[in-house]
Amino acid sequence: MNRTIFRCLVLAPLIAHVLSDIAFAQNSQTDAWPTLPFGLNPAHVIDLALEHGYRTHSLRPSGLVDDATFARRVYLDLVGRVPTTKEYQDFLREADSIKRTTLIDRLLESDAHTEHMAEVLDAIFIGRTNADQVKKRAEAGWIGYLQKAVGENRPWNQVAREVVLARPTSPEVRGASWYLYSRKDKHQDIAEAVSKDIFGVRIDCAQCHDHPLADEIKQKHYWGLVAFFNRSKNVDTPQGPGISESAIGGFSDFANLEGSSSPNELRYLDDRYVEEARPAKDVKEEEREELYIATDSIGPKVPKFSRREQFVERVLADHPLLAKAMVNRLWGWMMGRGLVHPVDSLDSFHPPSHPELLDWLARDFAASGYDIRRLLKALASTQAYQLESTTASNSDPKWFASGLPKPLTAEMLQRSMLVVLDPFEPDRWNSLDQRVAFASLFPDVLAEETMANVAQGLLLSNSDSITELVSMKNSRFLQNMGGELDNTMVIESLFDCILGRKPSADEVAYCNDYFNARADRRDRAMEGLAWAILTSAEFRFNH
Amino acid sequence: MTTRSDSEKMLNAPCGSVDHRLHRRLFLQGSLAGAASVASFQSLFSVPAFADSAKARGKRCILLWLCGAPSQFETWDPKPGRPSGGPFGSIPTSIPGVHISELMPRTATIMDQLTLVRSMSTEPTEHFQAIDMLTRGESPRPPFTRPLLGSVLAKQLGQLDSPVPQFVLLDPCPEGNEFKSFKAANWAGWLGAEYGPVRVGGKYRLENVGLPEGMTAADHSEREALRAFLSRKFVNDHQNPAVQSYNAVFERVKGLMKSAPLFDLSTLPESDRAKYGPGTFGMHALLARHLVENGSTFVMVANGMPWDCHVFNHETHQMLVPEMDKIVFHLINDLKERSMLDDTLVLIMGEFGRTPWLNEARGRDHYPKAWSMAMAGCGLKPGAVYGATDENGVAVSDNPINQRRLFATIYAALGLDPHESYDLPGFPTFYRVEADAAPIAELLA
Repeated sequence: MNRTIFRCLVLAPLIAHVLSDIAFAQNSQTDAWPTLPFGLNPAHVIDLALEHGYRTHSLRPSGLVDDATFARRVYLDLVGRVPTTKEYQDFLREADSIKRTTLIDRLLESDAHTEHMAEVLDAIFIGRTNADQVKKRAEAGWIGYLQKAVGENRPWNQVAREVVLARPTSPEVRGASWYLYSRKDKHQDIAEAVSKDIFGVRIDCAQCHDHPLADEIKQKHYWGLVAFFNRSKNVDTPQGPGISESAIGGFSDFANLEGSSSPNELRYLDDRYVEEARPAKDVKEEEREELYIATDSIGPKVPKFSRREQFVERVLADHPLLAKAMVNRLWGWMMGRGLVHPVDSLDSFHPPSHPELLDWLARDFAASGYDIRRLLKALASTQAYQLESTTASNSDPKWFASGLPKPLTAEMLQRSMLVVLDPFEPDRWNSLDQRVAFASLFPDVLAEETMANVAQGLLLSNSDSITELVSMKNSRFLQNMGGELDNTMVIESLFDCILGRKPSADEVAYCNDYFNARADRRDRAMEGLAWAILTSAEFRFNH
Repeated sequence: MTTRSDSEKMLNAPCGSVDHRLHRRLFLQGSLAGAASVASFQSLFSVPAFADSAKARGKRCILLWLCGAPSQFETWDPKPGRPSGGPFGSIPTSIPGVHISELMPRTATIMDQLTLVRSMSTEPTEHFQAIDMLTRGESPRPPFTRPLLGSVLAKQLGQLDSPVPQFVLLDPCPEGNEFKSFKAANWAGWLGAEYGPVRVGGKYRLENVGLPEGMTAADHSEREALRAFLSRKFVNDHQNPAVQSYNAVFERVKGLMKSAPLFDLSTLPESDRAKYGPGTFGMHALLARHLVENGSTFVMVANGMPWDCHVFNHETHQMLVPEMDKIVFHLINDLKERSMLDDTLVLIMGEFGRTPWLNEARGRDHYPKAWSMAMAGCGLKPGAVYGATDENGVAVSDNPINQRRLFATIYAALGLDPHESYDLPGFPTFYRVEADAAPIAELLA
């Protein structure tokens, strides 16, 4: 048993004892949670809260995963690919009792983690597009910006601020402007994106009327959020894409379905309000130089009263949803579904499965200085994260009584295949066009539920690119595998290297038959088996 | 007030009696029509594997999904001269006394073959909830997901082992706001992923349907058998919709490779394509005709999301309705010509209607309270017009119909018991149509 688990087992009862009176005593837990101090390890708090759920609903959680399963799981989540054969072996051989913790730390510090998380954030914030757009966003410095931010573990509130303000103060954050710029001056798109990505709330529904299902989301919040951005305009500067802002205009009324209209004041959820004098209806505002901050360059215009700046200072800063949205999203990333699910629906229509826990984690995250890496580490260190994913009981997934299978993103699937097959010409399968095509076929990232479609099955089964990738000719891994090994040894090695587990006796027998039927063309047999394992659901999911 | 009590009477009518009568009649009708369609099939396509499935097939359904929700005023329920009426007039149809919008001159000539409901009245005001409800027949009732109409029909009427996909979604643009979230949802629900749709995009053919180079068909299927064998334990151990659906798509690969020519519109006569085209909606409607003709049970033509006319309602309808008019006209005529209309149900609808008044952008907003939908074929009374709205189209004045009664009617027309129950361990019983809602007897032939 490794020490992470040991520590949980020993410390958990201790903390539980200390907290039981205040936090988990029946009938009073809701009142007591806010008093739970922040110094605690969030991993322990998570396990205790989930444990409480198991007990309340008489659920028996699954057992803990073995080392190989843990390695695969955490490599995929934190660096976006399966472990190499050597990484599996090194980890299994390691005798240190805290090796799981050590691995989590090492992965979180790696460049691969930076690249992977930047990719995930990009897919969430900008989404899947064509090769041309992907190229443009890289040129605009957006990917570089995300990588830098992840790499130095920049506090999340600062990243959110940089992205929404889009007023870079140094060359290395200039890529942040792409988030607004890519919306092409469509201010409603900007508002809908900011609300979903930064605050975890979909407000699209409130465009024409107050949200029909979530009472707290009003039409005035929708048009208020739009107003914070409706003086902004894309500009192309020698330094790249920028967002200028006008000092005047942007006043209008919005009408509801009953026909009554209201002014679009600067408002957003949680009663955030920025007052601003509205010109009288018949007064035409005039552009005046003194309304702007003098800039010596030909860069974007900055007004003295900037709505975007007001937004980041007075709405975004310390907004409770800022922390909560990121906590819920990272929870969803690691655990397979959000405490609120889908992850971008933090509204009263989608109550959290563990409301007190989500509140506590959000406040703890804010108190930690919006430290993403600390939160990822805590999540990976919980017992809940290390539960087996096989479903013995039919419990509702929202109780997290077993690990939930997570579909690999397009990037993770593709990278994992390349890691296993080790092609002689890796670039051939990793071109921009290849990556974009793969991403458009497997677009989901943290979807509510990922449903496969036949185009995926057809591509994996029949496309030239997959057929050639999984071939003796192009895969160093498969070539090395041949040689003198007998069939059973080849079969065992393929399972071991691709899935990190031994085949069962049944599997060995079936595969041996498959090989024997192809005694005259063993290479084809190996390619067939490698393909069958690589396209199995077991490979497609992180479990 | 009389309308309400009428509908209550319908709702409380002892269920079953109508169905029993129907079952027998539809059974007889179905077997005859089946024989007719085999003949037309054989002349069209020489893929021998299809013959059996075509023979065994009974009813099928094409859903022309007018996503975003068209205006009833500019289509099926015009109010010329009224404040809500808009600029377009109405024209007489082949049913004496029944007028539809002047934007639909061709459909007007075949109204006697359509079945119209002018008294749809539903609750959800937002696209996502409304689309979800009107394609499943009921609002969500967690934790189990009700299957789409197409999945139910694929299971009840289709053949799972047919190489031709039983449920096809023709889907011009995978993007598009609320419809996008709908498409990401769990389609087949509790029936399981094998009853989910085969989705085909804007290209009028399938990709990657040939054998990989140098591989024989035998090797290809043995490799798949190996894959399936190696996946079995994992899939059994993970009762998770995403895992199940991933595995299910591989079971489809072989059938799709065989039936790929069916999806290739270039194999159809140029005159057909000219008739329906050039737009994607028309091409997909033609493809839908071709697919049901060759063994598909349910084809949903997901017409993008163009109908959401919050801006410039009249101008937009002036562009969209004539295209729909042409497509409906040719589709119904073609099905009839092929003797397929008697066992093919055609549904033409969106998720709600549009407001009797205009907003500031001269658009019509969402209006579920009083709207129209049209059907044709299979077990329905041709030329029947059911329900009505008041003089301004603000409210249903006669026989309001909700999603449950609509679905009960659809199932009954297809010869399925609307009140079939599903018992899931530990949960209250689910019914194919909840609340004993009765089919609209007046519309059933």
